[in-house]
Amino acid sequence: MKFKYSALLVVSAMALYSPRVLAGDASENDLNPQNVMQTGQRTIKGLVTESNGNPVIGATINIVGKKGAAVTNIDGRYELQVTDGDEIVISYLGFGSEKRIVKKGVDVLNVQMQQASTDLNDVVVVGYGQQKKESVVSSVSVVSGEDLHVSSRSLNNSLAGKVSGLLAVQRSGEPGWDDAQFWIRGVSSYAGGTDPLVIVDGVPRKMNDIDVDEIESFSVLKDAAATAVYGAEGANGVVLITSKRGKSQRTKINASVEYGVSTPLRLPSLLDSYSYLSLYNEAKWNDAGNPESAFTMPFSDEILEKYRTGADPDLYPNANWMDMLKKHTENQRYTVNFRGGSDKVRFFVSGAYYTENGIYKKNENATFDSNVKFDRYNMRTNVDFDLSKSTRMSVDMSGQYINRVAPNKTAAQIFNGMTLMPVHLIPMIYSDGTPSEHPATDGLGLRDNPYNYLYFSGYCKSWEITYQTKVTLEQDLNFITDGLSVKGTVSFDGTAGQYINRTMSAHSFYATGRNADGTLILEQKNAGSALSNPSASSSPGNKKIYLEASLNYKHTFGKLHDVTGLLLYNQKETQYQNYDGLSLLPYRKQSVVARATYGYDNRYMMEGSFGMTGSENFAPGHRWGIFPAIGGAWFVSHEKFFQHLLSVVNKFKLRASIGLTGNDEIGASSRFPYLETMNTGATGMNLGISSIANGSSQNWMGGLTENQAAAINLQWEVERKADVGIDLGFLNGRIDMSVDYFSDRRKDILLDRNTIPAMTGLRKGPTQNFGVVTNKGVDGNITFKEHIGKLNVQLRGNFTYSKNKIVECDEVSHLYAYQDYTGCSIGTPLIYIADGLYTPDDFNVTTNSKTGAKTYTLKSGLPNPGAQVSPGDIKYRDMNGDGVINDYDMTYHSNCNSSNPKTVYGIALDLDYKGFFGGVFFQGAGGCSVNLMSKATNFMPFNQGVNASSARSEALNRWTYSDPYNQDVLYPRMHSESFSYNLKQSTWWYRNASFIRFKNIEFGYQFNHHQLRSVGLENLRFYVQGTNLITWDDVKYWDPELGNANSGAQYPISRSWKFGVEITF
Amino acid sequence: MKLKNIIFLAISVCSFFILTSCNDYLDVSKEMNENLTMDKVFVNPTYTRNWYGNIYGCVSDYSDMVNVNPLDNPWSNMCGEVSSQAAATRDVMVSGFTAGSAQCQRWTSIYQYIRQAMIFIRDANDEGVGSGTNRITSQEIARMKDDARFLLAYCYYSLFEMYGPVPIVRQIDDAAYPQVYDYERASVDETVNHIDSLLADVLSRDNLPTSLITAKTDGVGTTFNLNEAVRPTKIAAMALRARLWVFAASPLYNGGWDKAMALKNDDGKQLFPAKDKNKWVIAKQHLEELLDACTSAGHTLYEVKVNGSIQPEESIYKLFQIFNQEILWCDTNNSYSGQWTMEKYTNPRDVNNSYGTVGPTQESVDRFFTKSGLGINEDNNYHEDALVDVINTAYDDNCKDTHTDHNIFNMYSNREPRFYQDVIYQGKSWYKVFMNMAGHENYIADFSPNGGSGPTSTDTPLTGYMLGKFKNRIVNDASGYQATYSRVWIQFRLADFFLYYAEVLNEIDPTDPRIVQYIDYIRERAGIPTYAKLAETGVKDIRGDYQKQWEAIEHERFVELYCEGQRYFDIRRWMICGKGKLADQTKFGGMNEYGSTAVSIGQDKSFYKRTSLENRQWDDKMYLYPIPQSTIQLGQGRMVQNPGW
Repeated sequence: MKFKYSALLVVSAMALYSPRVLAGDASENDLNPQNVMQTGQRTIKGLVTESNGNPVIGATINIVGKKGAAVTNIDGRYELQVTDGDEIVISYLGFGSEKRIVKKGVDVLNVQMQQASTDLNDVVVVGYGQQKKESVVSSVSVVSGEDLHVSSRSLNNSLAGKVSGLLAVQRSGEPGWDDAQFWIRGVSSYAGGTDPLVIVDGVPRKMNDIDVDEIESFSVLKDAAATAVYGAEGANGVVLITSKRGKSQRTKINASVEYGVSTPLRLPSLLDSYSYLSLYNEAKWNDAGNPESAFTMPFSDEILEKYRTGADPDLYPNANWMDMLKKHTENQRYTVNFRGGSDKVRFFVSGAYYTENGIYKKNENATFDSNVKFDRYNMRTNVDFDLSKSTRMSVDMSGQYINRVAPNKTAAQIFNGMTLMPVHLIPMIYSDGTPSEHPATDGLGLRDNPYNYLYFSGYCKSWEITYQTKVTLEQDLNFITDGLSVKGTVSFDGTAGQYINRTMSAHSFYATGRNADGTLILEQKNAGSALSNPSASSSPGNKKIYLEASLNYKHTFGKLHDVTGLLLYNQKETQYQNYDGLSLLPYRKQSVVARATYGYDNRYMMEGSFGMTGSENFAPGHRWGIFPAIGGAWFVSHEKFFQHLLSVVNKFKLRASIGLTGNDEIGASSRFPYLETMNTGATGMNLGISSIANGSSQNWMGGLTENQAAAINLQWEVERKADVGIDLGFLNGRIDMSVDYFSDRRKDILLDRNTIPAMTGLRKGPTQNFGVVTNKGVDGNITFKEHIGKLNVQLRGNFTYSKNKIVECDEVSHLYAYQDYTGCSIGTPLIYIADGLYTPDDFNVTTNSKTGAKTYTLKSGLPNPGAQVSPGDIKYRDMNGDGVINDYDMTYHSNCNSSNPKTVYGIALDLDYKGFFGGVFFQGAGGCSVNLMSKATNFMPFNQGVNASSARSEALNRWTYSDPYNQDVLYPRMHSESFSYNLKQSTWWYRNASFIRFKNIEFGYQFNHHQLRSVGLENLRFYVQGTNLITWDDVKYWDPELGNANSGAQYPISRSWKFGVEITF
Repeated sequence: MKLKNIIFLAISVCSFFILTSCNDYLDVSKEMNENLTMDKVFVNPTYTRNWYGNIYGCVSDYSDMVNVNPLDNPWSNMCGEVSSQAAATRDVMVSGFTAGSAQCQRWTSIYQYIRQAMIFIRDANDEGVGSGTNRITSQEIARMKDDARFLLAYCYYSLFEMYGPVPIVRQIDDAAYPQVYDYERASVDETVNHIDSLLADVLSRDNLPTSLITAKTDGVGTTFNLNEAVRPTKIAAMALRARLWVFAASPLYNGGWDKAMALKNDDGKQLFPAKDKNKWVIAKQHLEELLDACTSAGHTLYEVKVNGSIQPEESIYKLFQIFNQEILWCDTNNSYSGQWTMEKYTNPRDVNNSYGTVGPTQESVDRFFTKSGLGINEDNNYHEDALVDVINTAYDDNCKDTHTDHNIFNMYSNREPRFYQDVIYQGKSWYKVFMNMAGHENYIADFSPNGGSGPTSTDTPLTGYMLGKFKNRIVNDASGYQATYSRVWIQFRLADFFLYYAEVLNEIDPTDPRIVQYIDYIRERAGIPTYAKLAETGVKDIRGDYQKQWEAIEHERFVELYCEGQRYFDIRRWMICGKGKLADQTKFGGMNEYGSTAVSIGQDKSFYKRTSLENRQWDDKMYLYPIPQSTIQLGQGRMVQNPGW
């Protein structure tokens, strides 16, 4: 439905603009070479082509310093009167201009034009400005919007493996809530925030819901030289996103339509009732010591048979809760944008619509659909005006409007329910359509029917609108001195939204048996309620105000000395609605920024900068901090002595930088952490009672204690970043690479002092900037390009590796050094080391002569596990060798890692041949672990007894009595109830979460200009894109990227296929 | 010229922004200037009271046997009095713990209350504070400070009974920049003397009232200053002092444990003293001081009499239901007062949707006397071989009606009144108000697999018993709703100190006739034959025999003070926990909840079969609780850990 309407929209937009396109066509096809004869003049001819050989139509050819000019015709050919020695310039919008000297005796001068996207390659967006790429001294990764190949709603989810220095993981697949977490060069703080600063068009904003077609470039600032200008906000790295702007060109209209189908990956699969109950019989039998006689299975063969045959699904149900999920979900994306302008006014206007639905099946009987649905509308208008020759004004407006629908229970609740609710207790719904409910629900999720969660709990609709406005005025001050300009920016952003709930509950029953006539005997469990009137549940909202003023200077002295300078002031304020207490007050910052660069002859570059930030969150007198950095580069290949090597090594540049940045997201639990606080809600006491019998308490004395001591010296975290890098190009740019080594040290991490003895009686250790973390690593990228005939090949790869180490966290040292967190990486788990499972050889076995039941006593010399263990239970390592397994045997040194990756990498191969193009992208992560037992109740069968847990099909991969030496199993000995000993966090349950994904494949066809010209189009492209096609990993039971989440009971990540068309007029 | 222009422009642009906005732009927190800070506390009467009110948080709430909070009562579970399913303590005695993982640490929170009390004593304004009706007078401040000193003594006592000697805080450290004074453990004698001197100081002044009794009559009718029920009195201070010295004289703290004797600070100071019998004499003095004061103030054992004869059932029941003259000190926090806590944890789960998880162990059940006043092993009329009729005397709130239950295991017949008040066993009828409601007429407590408290849910006590002591009998009246009945929790009561007195006398001179006399006060009220009577009738004579008297005192303390938070500490100070000893901590059993009541007694599949529930560990190091390992590590050798940890 939606697809049709949107297609219609695009077609009508095309129709509207087609007259102009045709008119433009006519005028540009008018070949009109000037023929002014002069002495010595002769005619040259030529063909102007793109790099792929397609003719360039309408390119202008001018003679430098003379009047003569020509325009290429529909075949890309031109003729021009020239004199020997003339310099001609060939130019065309969207391409770089080419210069040629007309040599004597040459009559044909063919020219190949280079795409002007090289603009992006020449200029790099850096903090508060742009720099020529070759003069950049800092460590910055840049990707163009097109190269991001965004394949999902969220920009975040397409970053992993695309940009060196950036680590990203996606922890959920739920539409609208699936934004990946990402970090630049890993994390350096265990207390403070680790999110990078995100700047969109110069203003701090969120990036996840920007439509990718709006993005011109994406820069990642990594080292101190790049981030120091962001002062106390730069330590976690900075992402700069620049949206597309207008160009002085014929208006181009670009429209695209995408349709995608997604298939959830690796859903948990549940054991059916028969297998589940049989497994329970086995567990009970295990608990009884595997007797040979005198043992009655709790579920008899007769009962089991009823479950197996499914003859009476109401009384002997087999509720596969996963059946509530659809096999496929759909998403669609439509965009249209207009880009163009004249000399004085340039504009970029775009609109986009994205829609995606969720995984839950529709209930055919319900009047409402509570399936997850996400709709997003984007709009952007960027307009630049030249008010005068020296004055420019830019007006940017953008907005995002989001609509969501979801069931009233969260995905976490529903998925939790589906993997927790036993399959054999009640059917999803009785076969006569009566809603079912188990009699023993505890109201906290235990034995709640997930079917009712989904279809009988109502729904929640929400909307959210974000508007972003910005006005910039820039004035050249050439009248003062060449290259000086001043710029001012004002930006207002706002978000408003509302969640609207409608709740209901099922009129539910429990079947206790059947009447003589075979009808179910139903006991009412819940009277049920109809859908309620809408009620508000929360309303996200905020306002952001940003002001900036800057003075820029840029000049080249004597052709050799490049000098630039920047002096900038900004202030920003964010204020939230619906927060509580102190969080309602505005969050404010001020900054003064300065930067100066000097380059000599494009060979030696120096840059010095500082950001000075004032944060409102600290005490007066402790609010301002200054963060300086310096960097330098030596462009070795620009040296004279290097000239003879250029044919092999065309680029060789060395960079180094060092400096300080800060992080004022210090992780304090409250605002104004320096303020002394008291706890007015502490334990109090009723001194009396009102009467001798059943006397109510009286004479209340309240309760007041100290809480946090005043700590006026509190400040931000400070990070010293050092970086050395090398940029290399070989074989005329066919191979291009860049590698950086970094070594960062974060200090002043905020913590409540732990090493204060309890005898001081302090409620809270004093808060101080005390912690230290180092973070070191390497990142880099390489590009390889080759043309083999008409086949263009491009191979790109990038990787990021970062390893942090806690140097100081004010830890109380432990009795055993292997329990000290200090010295480990952030997030390293403290766990037992499992040395496999106990085997019968570990025990002295006594067999009951009557029943054959075995009693197991550990052989002497084996450590006492502190629990009644039997063969098949997990055997933990006695780390301290004291003969007892207890908490002193847990260690940080188990080779298991945090769930966040240390390494992220990507490899892409792109090919195109005569309009056919294709590409594959592999992405991987490493150095991370997943804990299967992160939520035991969802992963361990019978952990809450047979009637309050479930088992996944993997549960059959278990230790068994008949094969007691087999250690190659997932589950240890089955126990019929919680056996906490096997649930201890240990290496048994940890898995390496490294993975390599066949993340993307794309192939399609791009019609060439020549063909398109004749039908009035500029560009036409069809493509098919596949995402998350294959994953190689060790986790197996759920997607490795989901991490520990609920032991996999989580909204899954999907594989998707997308079909798209892109048209440009 | 040009350069000047640039500079001028740069300065003017930047200074414009900075000067206009910098001044107060970042001063967002200015709005918080009037926030409450420490210096505003003791100039304000409400804050002064609230600060004072918090100190009472140090008082352990022994009524809560479910939570693991060390200032509640995890101890009843840990010492095997009851099983408590819901508690995180459930398997702590099975899997054991280390100094690093021990969960029931009073250490941190008690030292916080010590600081709270010390700050109050130092900073509360002796001149009084406030005005008008809200004024706290200087006399009142003086009393509040003595209250705080009492609570300070209580804090150290709570640490002492658990850890032995502990560091004594002499200075109040700065919260923002702690100096971290060198803390090391005082010796037992220093700790005891510190607590003793705090109490002596309080008792030396007249700021505290002697007792809560405002007018005394014989028995019922005594009136109390209930508005200040929790505030310490002189009698409370004397009681704490007496208990302190009983502990100080007991073997664990008085030269009875060689491993503790070997404990030395790094400067060589010995922490545990050699045995000193004179400590029993000091204990005796303080007990006599207390008992004299009690007598003159009107404190007696709570005995309901009809026509001059004691009604044991009613006395034992009402003792915990109404405020009475046996109470020497109490606490208004009682987990039995609320709807959701202990009453529901000791109701069958099919009574008012309860949790029913706290139940006596078999070892506890076996220690209740028979109605002849003898142990089950001494009474020839005690049998475990048939199902019989048993009269339930814990049935009616007025203790008038009883209910005859059928098919009751004869292990539960012919037992003493306290047994019927304290233990809910298989087949016992529930309370009268509940059974008077339609549909509940034949309601019985049923712990067997299909019963309302059976093992098919985690809401079962697992032992086949439920704790009946402390329970109120009218809160189950409204169908589906649990009513509430508020009462205080007794911290100190006279019976406890009578038994201490008997114990102390026995240690000093076993021939003292008052030993049996004081035990018999308790037995008389409990409705069982006194030892005097048993001797007279020739059934059993313990008089003058140290060992027999000691055993009688231990036995009586167990039964009388069952689940009141004393047992865990008593068996440690006596050092009787090891395997094979009187309070063998490795035993933990109940009836076979998974068995059927239809199968004959003692058979494997019978409900009526003693079943071991947990393989509990005992190690002598558990006599003293480990000091938190972090504190030991921070002490860098100066803080000495208790033996074995």
